[in-house]
Amino acid sequence: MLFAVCYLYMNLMSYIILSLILFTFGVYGVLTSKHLLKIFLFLEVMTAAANLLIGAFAAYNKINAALGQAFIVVVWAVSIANTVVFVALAIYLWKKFGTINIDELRELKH
Amino acid sequence: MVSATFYIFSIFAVASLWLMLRTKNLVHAIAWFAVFLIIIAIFFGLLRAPFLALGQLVIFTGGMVAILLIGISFSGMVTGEQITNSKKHITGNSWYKILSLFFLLTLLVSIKLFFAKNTTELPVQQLATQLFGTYWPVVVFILLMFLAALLSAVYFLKKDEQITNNK
Repeated sequence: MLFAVCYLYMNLMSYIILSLILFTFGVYGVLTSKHLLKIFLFLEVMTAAANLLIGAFAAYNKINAALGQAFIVVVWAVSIANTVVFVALAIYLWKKFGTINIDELRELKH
Repeated sequence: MVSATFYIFSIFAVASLWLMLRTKNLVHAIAWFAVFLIIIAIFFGLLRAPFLALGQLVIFTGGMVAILLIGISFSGMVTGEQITNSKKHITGNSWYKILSLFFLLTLLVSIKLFFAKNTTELPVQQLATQLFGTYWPVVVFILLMFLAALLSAVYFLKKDEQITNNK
């Protein structure tokens, strides 16, 4: 019994650690990137890392595993809606200012 | 549940993110992002969630990457010449071998998951019951959100058209 609990804990811990590493990469990318679309890509990386964590918890939850998966499907929907608006906004900014570098856009504001 | 496959693909995931962070070319960044999304789909497969793995492949690796590439190429953010150069760069150096190894591993894992017995601990029926039975208002909300997102995108693009016409 104890062995089974330890085995389960280690497996789940592997997914938690991996998700944290991926999420940290996402945060680092958002903070250091200058390109608007690259920032968006790293935001999606953060979402994927969170989804992986939810998926891992859902897989180890034997009572109601479908709930976690349903939650991931909802997050996907939000993410896709986000993509549509973000790409349209990026195209608009590109056509209006000729750049999507966030430093240059900040200068244009003043 | 955690196996050597998990550790190998973890390394691939971190490497793809590192390359995505380091590259200056937007097309390369999107290519590495697609690789990262495929790896996440494999992790869902390892977690015995084939519905999520397929959804991840179809919606994200197919749909989102296509939207991003079409968006940037049609708006002129990346020219056709840059895309051709990116293709030459990706297929012309040693990364091509690493990518080939990655896709070979992906194929082997997919075959293993496909032929493994009892891969679906969770029937898709349960998921459908959750989504369309218990949480149907959430699904309606998602549909409304999609509509709002599409209308917003059309609004931005129309505004862009007005700016071009005024010029």
